This record gives sequence, structure tokens and C-alpha cells, in this order.
Amino acid sequence: MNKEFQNKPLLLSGNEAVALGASHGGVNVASAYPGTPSTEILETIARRAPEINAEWAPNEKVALEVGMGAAFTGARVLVTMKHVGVNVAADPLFTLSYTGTKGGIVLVSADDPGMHSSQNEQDNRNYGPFAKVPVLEPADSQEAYDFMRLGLDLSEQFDTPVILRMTTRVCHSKSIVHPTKPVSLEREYTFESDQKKYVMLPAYARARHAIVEKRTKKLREWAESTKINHHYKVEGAKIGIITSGVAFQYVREIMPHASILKIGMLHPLPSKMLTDFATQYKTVYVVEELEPFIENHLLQLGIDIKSKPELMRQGELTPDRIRTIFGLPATQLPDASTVPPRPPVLCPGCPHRAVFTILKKLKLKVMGDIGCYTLGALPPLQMLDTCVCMGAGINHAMGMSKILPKEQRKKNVAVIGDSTFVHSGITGLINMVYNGGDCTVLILDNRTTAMTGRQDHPGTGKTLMGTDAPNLDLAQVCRAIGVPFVKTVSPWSLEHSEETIREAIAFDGPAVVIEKGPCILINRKKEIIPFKIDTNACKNCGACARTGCPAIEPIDGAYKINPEKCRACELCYQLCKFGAIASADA
Amino acid sequence: MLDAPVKNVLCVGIGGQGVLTVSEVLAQAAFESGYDVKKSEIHGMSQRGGSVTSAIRFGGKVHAPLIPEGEVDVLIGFDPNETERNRHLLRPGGVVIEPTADMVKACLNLPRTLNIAVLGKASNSLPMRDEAWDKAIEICVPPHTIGINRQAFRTGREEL
Repeated sequence: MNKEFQNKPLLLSGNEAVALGASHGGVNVASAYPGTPSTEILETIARRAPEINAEWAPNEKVALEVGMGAAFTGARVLVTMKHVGVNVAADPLFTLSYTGTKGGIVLVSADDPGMHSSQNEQDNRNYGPFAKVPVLEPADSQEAYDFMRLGLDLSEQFDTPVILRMTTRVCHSKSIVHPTKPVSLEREYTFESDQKKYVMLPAYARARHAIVEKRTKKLREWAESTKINHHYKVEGAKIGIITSGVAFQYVREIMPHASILKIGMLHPLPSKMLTDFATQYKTVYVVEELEPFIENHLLQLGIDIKSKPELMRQGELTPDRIRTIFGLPATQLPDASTVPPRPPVLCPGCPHRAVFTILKKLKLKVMGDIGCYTLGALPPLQMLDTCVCMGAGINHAMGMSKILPKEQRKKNVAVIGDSTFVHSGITGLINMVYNGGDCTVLILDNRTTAMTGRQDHPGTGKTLMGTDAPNLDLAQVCRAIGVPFVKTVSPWSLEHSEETIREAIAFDGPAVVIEKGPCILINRKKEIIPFKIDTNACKNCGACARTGCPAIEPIDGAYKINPEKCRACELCYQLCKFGAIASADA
Repeated sequence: MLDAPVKNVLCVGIGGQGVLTVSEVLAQAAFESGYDVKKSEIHGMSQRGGSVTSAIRFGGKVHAPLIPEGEVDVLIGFDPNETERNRHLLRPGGVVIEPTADMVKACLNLPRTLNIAVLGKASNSLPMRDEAWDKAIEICVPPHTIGINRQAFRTGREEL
């Protein structure tokens, strides 16, 4: 993304294409909270388009509000998040729809059908009609680039935020992009007072709602004649298929003899175009990933379609599922092998493993939420009992403590990561103090936003751009909230960590233990001297293996440490009662 | 070129084996050769010891970024379990390329290039020319490792 535009094709992921489109489209400000599959958009902007003011926000609501503020001055803005992030940003989104904007503002919702790394698979096209905001959905990287730029133009033309809805297979798949000439915007940025537009007192909001309804009508007219809703006509085709997003690619792959109406703008839908298309074909199908969104609209219009929503509501679509939807025989395959699945686990050397080992020893129930520590739920540790959404663990523990008798209450702890705590744990902790909860909260401070790829946040001391930032002192935050018991320990000092957790639980009232130890993948040491198990001293008790460390492997009936995986975290060394584990150096 | 049938390559392995680097180079080589290319993968599992798969499809025109079952032409497997897990997706007559003892030996002096050597071997089942592979390696690997990666690639490509 140099100053000189190079008119040549590039092989880009959907996320990279959005970043390029933002740069070429004249975006000035970008704000986001990391969330798979959206994270690389801002990372790519930071790396390749440093002219854009890009930053990580503590959460998606802040990101959208910051973006909104900038857009109110006439700046062009991009805000990105995963699908559940839109739930957090929903409050500003719904009323931004009423205020409209001055500069173009595009919100990327990166959905995750099939839940490759999410807690649900909500279909965020539904936010369009609900928030009354147009939704564009690209089917590959070229469209991701084009729709990013189009979104900015539409946003300004129609005075509305625009949602760019993507899915994992568009975000993380690479395909060819032919970029076009970047815009050259000559703008003066000012914030002009306009209370009727920006101050949503009921009287003003009512007037804006009327404007929103008119806008939706105008957008629907625009949708009727836009090229991004396109009829791929196959001569003599008896079947017409209406589809959107990456599902379009699967349909093209599997049903080359059908005509296709590919919808690029999911809201408002082009009712006339849909009706016209349906009249041209003997049978009309809808293929869409997750909810029958287009289908329900067609049913409202009274269009007769071969309806199969139950075949698409769950899980991500694949070319082979398209075969099933159309009643085509499944491809004859040899039997799949029975190799056991290999899900992701906590890395060797992960500080969370040390904490969960202690919690397991104390036979506690653990309320948690979203982060690498969610993997503490997996065997053999299996030390996570709730995980619903960001920041929830603290509130689950608090809610339970309102009802459970003391001996049960004292068996519960909440765990939360540092980034998640800043995102939405602080208010839960405030509630705990304010409403007198008797709960223990462990802040697993591994100094990064780990699960999404180790991004910075307000507690790490660095910004997205790598510049120094004030380092949010979590212990001070807890004290300022009024938590009477706040201690910071290293997860690697097992004895001290266990003792402190016991103290915190015994304490009557809110208690916080900050387990402060960096993610093993940041500042990776080049030379690691692994640990080794002395087979003569080893009694095969399995205590080391029960931590679930991937470096500890049972080979020929004995436990061995794989020197290529071992990160010398010393957890197993501390746990071994028989002194059978030591540094290979010793 | 516009008529070229679509060729499907599936790269599988576990974290740390360089599966995604191989997939990058392969996709780039196809792109440099003028094919339409689509590549898909899931991010985030390799760091945490999970299975890693990446699909590369190239030809005159590619639609789906995912390979339909039973249409994998070349399965490049870096881990025996992952290779087994995906074997049933091969087209009849599809080939499986895995690291060999000779490759491992040849790469001892070329640290962390075994994955590229395996790709070199796989390249014999693919239509891209030397120049495209060379360019792709140059673009996709850390600059100070271009030399050893090209060497490793040649070792695999020339292995009988």
C-alpha cells in the first residue's frame, strides 16, 4: 500500500483485501477489538497502511463509538469485529443508524459459521433489518476489496453506517484481487453542531426514525439496479438458485447448470429483482449459510421456493453439503480413517496450565469466559464449568454466590484473562464490590490478547502500532474498585500461588488474585534447555502427565519429555514428588 | 489458461511443521504462473498443537475455496496421522507426498526447510515451472532464508 498505486493483481485473503480497500478508499481512522476471523484486518492496516490512524480498542462498543466520533467530523472510518462483537457494539450501532454520519463508516462483522473458534454461530445479516442498516456480503477477496470501498460511498450517499458481513471462508481464504485507483479526498474535518442529527432525545429521534424509513426505501430502489446483485444466467436452465456470500462459490462449483441470482446487498433486499428472477425458472432454491434470511423475505413476497432451511441452519456450508441440498448422490469415498481428532490445547509452558493444575487440586468449580484459558476445559484438566461470553465468568460466580450456601460458594472461582478483564470484566468486579459478593476472581494476566494471536491491549504498555502506551495497572484498578483483597503472584511459583488462592477463597468478600506470567509465545527464548524425566527415579504416578502438557508423552509405558516441545516452564518439575524431573542441563 | 482444469492440493500436518508456509508458496507459484487461485485454511490451531490443513485450488477458473470430497489431486502430508485422516478425500489416482528419510538427511544442514523439500517433491506432480517456484519462494519466506529454501526445494524436486 505504497503511495504509488500499482495496477497489478495481488493474491490476498479477504481480510487483507478489506485492509487494502480501506486504504484505497480513503479511510482515516480504524478501530477494533481482536476477534477471529476479523483480526488480521487491523493488523494488515497497521503493517501496510500506516497512514491510517489505527488502534485496538478495549472492546467493540468503544471501537464503534470512537469510529463514530471520527466519522462525525467527515473522516472515513472502518471498525471491525467478529460476529459476537457486534452484540457488544449493538448499542451504538442501533442509534448510529438514526443519527447517520458525515464521513463514511463501515462496520465489518466477521461471522464464524461452524464455530471454528466461537461460542455461537449467529447470522449477522439479521442485524441489517433489525438496526435498519444496509448489509453488503462479499463472496471472495475481490468483492471484499470492492465492497469495502463501495460501503464507504454508500455510507456517505445514504447517510448511514454500512455493515460488511464476511465469514471465515472469505476472511481467511486467499483469492486474486485487481485493485483500482485509490481515491484522492480533499476534505476539511470539522465537527458542526447539529443537535437534531446527533442528539437522540426522543423528539429528535422520532424525526430521525422517519428519515431512516425513507432511507431504507431509497436503498431498496438502489438495490434493484445495482450490479452487485447479479443474475448469472445459464441458457436453458430449469433451476434458479438465489444465494449470497461464499455459498455462491459452492453453488457455482456443484451446480454449473443452474442459473444463479447472487445477492451482494443483503439488506434491503431487491424485492422486484427477486420476484422477476423467480418467474423465469421452473424451480427456485435458496442456498445461504446459516439462517433462512433471504428465504424468509421471499416467503413474505409470496414466492414459491423449494425450501430446505433445516439443511443450512447449522454448521458451515461446504461444496459437499450443496450436493445433499440438491439431492445429488454423495461422492463415493473410501472409509475415513479413525485417527483421533487433534483439537488445539494449551501450549507447553502456558501459565494457565499451572493455575488450572492448582484449581484441580483444590477441586474447585471454575466460571470462565473467552480466551486461551477456555482450553482449560479440555481433558485431562477439565477445569472450566461455564463459558458464555466475554466477562461473564465473574458475573456467573457473583450470581451463584447470591443463592448458594457458603460451603458451595467457597468452591467456586472465576477466571478471566487480562484483555478480557479490560474488555468487560471491570464492571462485573465493580458489581461484586457494590452488591457485596463473596467471590474469588483470578485474573490470568499473561500480558497479551493471546487467543487471537497476541495483540496488545491497555494492560500491555504498547499500542497496535508498537508505540509505548500507559500501562494499565490491573491491581490498582481492583483496589480502586474497592476490592479488599488483591494480591499478585507468579503462576510459576506453584506453592505461593496455591497458598494465595486458598487465602482468597477463605476471605469473606470479593477477592482478586492476579496470576501474572507472560504467555509463553511472547518474547520467545531462542535457546531453551528442556527438562528430562529420570526413568529410574520415576514412579509412573502420572502427576506430570495429568497436567495435560503436550511435551509429556507416554512412550513404551514410561513418561518422557519431548525435548522439542518442552519450554522449561518447570511445572512438572515442581509437581514431581519423587524428584524424577530435572533440567537436562543438571 | 482459461480452460485449464482445476487442480486441487491439500496440505496437512500439525503446528510447527511449516504447513501454512508450504501452502503460501504453492498458491503464490500458481498465481505467478497465471492461474486463477484460491487458498483456504483455518488460523490459530497450529500454535496450540492442533491439526493444520490448507487447501490450494488453481486452474482456469476456481469457484469454491474448499476442495470437494474425493477431488484432492495431491495430498501433501507432513504428519502421518494427519495424512491418514485426510487420505479418503483423494481422487482415484491422486498422489500422496510425504517426507522421506533422504529428504530429512538432505535438510539437516538447511534448518527448518524440510517442509519446502517436501513441496519440491510434490512440485513434480504440478504444472508450475521452475521460475514460478523460485519467485514464490522469494516472496514467501524470510529474506535471509531464500537461498536455503531454494536449495531444499531443488533437493525435493530432483529426488528420484
